[in-house]
Amino acid sequence: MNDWLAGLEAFLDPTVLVLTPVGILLGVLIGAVPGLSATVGISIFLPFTFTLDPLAGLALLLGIYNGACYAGSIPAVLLRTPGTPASAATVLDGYPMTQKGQAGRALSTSLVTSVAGGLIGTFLLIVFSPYVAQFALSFGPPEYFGLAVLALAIIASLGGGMISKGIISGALGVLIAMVGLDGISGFNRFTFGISDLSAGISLIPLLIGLFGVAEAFSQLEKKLHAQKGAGEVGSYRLGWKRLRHITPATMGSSLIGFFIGALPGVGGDVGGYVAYNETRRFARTDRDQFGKGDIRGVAAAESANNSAQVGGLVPTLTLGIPGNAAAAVLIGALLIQGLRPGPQLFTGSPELVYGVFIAVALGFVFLLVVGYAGIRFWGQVIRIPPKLLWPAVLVLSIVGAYAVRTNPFDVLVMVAAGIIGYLMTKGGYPVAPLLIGLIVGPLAEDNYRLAMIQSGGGYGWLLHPITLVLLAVSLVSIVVAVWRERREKAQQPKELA
Amino acid sequence: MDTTKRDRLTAGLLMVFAVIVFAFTFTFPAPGQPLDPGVAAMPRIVAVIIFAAAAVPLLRPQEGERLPRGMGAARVGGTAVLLVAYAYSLDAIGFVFATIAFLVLELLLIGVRHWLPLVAMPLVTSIGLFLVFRNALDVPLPTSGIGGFPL
Repeated sequence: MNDWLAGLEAFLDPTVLVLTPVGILLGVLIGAVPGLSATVGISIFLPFTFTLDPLAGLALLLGIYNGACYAGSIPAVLLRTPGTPASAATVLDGYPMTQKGQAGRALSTSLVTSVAGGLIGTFLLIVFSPYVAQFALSFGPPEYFGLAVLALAIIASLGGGMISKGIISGALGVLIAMVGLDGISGFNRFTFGISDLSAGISLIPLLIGLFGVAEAFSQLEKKLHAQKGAGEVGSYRLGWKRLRHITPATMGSSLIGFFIGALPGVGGDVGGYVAYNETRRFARTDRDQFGKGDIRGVAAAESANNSAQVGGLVPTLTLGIPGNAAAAVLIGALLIQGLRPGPQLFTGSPELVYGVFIAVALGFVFLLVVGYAGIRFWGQVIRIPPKLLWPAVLVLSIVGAYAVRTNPFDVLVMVAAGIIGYLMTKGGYPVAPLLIGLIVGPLAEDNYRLAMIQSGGGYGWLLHPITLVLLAVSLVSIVVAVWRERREKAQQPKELA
Repeated sequence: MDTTKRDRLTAGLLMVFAVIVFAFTFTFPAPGQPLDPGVAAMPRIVAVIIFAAAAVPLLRPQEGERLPRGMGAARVGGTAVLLVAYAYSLDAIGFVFATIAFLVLELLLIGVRHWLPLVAMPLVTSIGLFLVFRNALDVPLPTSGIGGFPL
């Protein structure tokens, strides 16, 4: 109870109270623009938090994190273009509703179920996180090594694309994290005499480059034209009957989304698709209407992706392992403030953790108010001229990279990361595993070496029960993903024939 | 170049890179304490993983997205060059002037020709961000120092 009071006191700080709805508003504006995902949004607004108190900064970023996840549904419904990857499944029924002249109703459904999914996810986050953190307090180096391997295995196997490319991407992230002074021996690794590299490659410029700049490059290669708005949107009213109709899909999908999102490295896009498929499979009536503009499809996808987004905060806060790419940026924000996420955060800074819980929950209430107040306006955000938007994103990226250490070298790192991220996307190498590798790489290496030292130089620590389970799950996730990939490849020629 | 050939070439380059990383670790010092696997252990494991995983796209290359050509390539390449120049000019001419120069050139590069956005957007963005970061957020963006100019 004391922790809750401390959290409430921290949340009632005027700066936090103001920045929570500001974050939600920014998130909605960002998510509504195709290409500007929650990860990009958090990356470009990160420098605004450097001098703020930790909770104020996190409240702003979490508002963007959750607001963008909802708003990704706006272009998904109106233009058949998901604003963020998490809204990919929303297109399946959201756009057909627009074609039927029911865009207004689809947007209202998306808002209500996003908030419902977010609040259910927040409730589960509050219930489960303290237990996970308590359990994690007993973890030693072998268990942390196992966790780091699990995070990389899951993101490589579920991150989309060829599994081997996901593994390469994650391994490159681990390798980049090794650049700089080794904490145990004091040796400078892979620095090649460049003094700026001794402190390691700064995380913030790298992630701004990998997401913000790389996305800007992808957009700039196209001819940039402002989007036209949707035509007839129809009524925004849902009514009790429709709300009752979508409630089972919303509740079930929120649960599915949360537990998928809580897996290290898996985001709302996977949660949205899985929940959509399960809702269709278990639908008692009119199952054939899914994909043709069924309101339950929008409810399932949106409640699941918002719940998954919150679920991603469980491993982020309790274990220091990012739940998804955007959560990795949140870890970067905490590190900048001198805070290391993990079980110690719950014992060392309970006011921050519980303040975050309150900020997330009230953020969704703000989202309902802000979202409904501007529901006729958000669709117009897609008309922002991209020829002005993307250069502005580049300038904000530069400011973010420079402001970390006021060092132009970091800006060069950001540009290089942008080029690498852009080329990786072109080659089918997913970028998210690289980012997860960057975060969990030091965790894996430090704990591997500590486990070896503590066990007298042998590998017996790999047989610790929790470590063994984590490594076995990692292996199974890779094997299953490889099997699935081979099966899909084998089916492709048949489908083509 | 065909995208599958490019995929195979990338995989080959990654394998070469992994071999170089592995070989380079032999220049690292031996562990300070006998039970520590040392600074070379993890890079070697990672190099082996990259080498093994890269064998898959080498043997079974995928089709990928095509790299842009013509104006698309010019916009991406030009933007990268402008960003590098921007990075170097920050300390030399200050944030405001460097940002104005970058934005004007970038807008021209992506085809903006109307005078209003070419003038207003760089001025508003650069001065606005400078004031917000320097005054409200205490983040010291570099000043020009040109003739005692405050920006």
